[in-house]
Amino acid sequence: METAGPIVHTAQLSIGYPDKMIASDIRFDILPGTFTAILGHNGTGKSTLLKTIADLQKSISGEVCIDNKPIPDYSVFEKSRLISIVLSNRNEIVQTLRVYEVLSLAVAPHREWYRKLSAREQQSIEEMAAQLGIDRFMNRQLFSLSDGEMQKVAIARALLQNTPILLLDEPTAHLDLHHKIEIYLLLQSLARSGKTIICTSHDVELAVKSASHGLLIGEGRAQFNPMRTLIDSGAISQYFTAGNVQFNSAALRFDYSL
Amino acid sequence: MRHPDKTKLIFLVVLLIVLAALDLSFGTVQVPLSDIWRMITGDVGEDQLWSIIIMEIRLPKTCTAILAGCALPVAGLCMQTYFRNPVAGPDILGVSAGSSLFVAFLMLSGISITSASVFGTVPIILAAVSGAALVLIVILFVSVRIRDTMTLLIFGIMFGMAISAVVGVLQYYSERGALKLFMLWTFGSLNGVTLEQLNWFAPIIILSLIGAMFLSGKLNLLLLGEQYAKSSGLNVRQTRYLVILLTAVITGVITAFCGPIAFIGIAVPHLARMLFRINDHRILLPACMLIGACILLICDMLTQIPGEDGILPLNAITACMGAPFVIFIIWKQQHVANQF
Repeated sequence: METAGPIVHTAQLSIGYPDKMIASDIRFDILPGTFTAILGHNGTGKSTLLKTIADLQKSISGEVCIDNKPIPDYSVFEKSRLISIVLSNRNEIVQTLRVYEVLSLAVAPHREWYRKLSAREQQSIEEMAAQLGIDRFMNRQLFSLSDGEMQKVAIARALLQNTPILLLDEPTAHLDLHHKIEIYLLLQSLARSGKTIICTSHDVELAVKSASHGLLIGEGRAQFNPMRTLIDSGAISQYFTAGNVQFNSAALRFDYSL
Repeated sequence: MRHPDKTKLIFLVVLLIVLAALDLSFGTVQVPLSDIWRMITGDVGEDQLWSIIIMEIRLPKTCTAILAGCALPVAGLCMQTYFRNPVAGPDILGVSAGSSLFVAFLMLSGISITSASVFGTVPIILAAVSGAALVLIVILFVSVRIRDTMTLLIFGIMFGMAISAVVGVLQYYSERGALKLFMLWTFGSLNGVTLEQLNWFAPIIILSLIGAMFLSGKLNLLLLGEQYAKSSGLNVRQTRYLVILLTAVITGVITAFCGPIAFIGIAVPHLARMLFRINDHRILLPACMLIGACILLICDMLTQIPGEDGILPLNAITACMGAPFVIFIIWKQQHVANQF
């Protein structure tokens, strides 16, 4: 993906459900190897936008293009080679599965029943597990994992799909600060290695510090810009300042009094 | 395949062979195993009566037990995975209720009552399969509109209940003789399939089982949830059609030949999961087939207990074994719903 053009692009997107528009007039050009954080209050459509990009949900009007081709024009299989996703609800996956079962489904999803995992597939699972530090519990069932461990398994699953684009829906929800920072550092390094990362987040401080671009969504509209521009123009502090909570644009943190 | 899985599967194959041999030998007339082997390998021998009993009555019955025992849990496992519901079974979408309705129409209106053997007459087969097919078409139509699997499941249960009510009304207004024959059919039986019918029954069931093995990868992906499955490149809609088709064919054909056999379809997948402690359908499916066949053979032998006084209804046996087991499962794993 060394092209200069955007990898994910939309000009005039409306998202929501047939009977309820959530946000409209969304436009963005996301370049390869960037890290975009989708920020906004609850219910403003962050997850809806993410799922619309993943084509897990239909847009109301307009379309998202990948490499200048509308996503619905790709086959299900082609899409799975372009986009991988980490969903916010851990119970999406049957919790009696073991970690290695989840990972082997990612590395060879369409394996026929008589074919074993190849040595190369086996090796890529082991390498990924070691990289994310989940190799210690490959045999454990998912329900026995903590939220932080589960999140790493979900990210490892998505990474093993080996796609240029990685979407994450609130990857740091339910995690303690230590794990949150770990995840954001990981996403940052993945973006540096060339992956395009798009992630929704409620952890505004961390997202603002680590993401290269921001997509601010609220009141039915959206604003996409490099994160620096969003901060310097005051868009972030304006959006997140309410009552006695204030976003400090200089220190990139919230100031508040209790 | 992990080593212990292989060992368990081999053990089940051996168990199945032993039980099949016992099932052939067991009955009001005891036939020694060595004679059975001689007859199956083609040497008719002197005793014509034994030969008739084994080749024309017991062999088709044992084959039917194995085939139905293999196929019913496969339908159950497919549905439990697809609907992500531990209490889903082949009868839950109303498919076997659909079969029952059509068979009830036929039997209670007195059309085929003249035939001596109720089980396995051609009109009943046609009725049961077309009843299953009709429900299948309705479910296919509904599943396009209702994307939520829970809603579809509830729809299936309600559909089944409505059909049962219609069957009840039919029963209320029918003659005593016709009613008894219909009730016998609903008790379930492995005795109705003749050698010629096995020529139809066996290929359909075996093809369905092979088809199920080719679905195993797709079923595994469904364990990740529909959204992850889709983003992993699974054509969810196509998979849905295949699962529903497979379930309907298995349920319809078995219901036609053996009556609505209860509990095997829902209980055996749980037994397989407990025994193998695995979710991989490439192993769970063969495990279900082997365990289901073994259990149905045991049930068949249990129906012979009265000896000279006839045989017990098959469904009474499967329900006596299956119902407490399902309750036990729900009791023991109260987090069973969370697992799915």
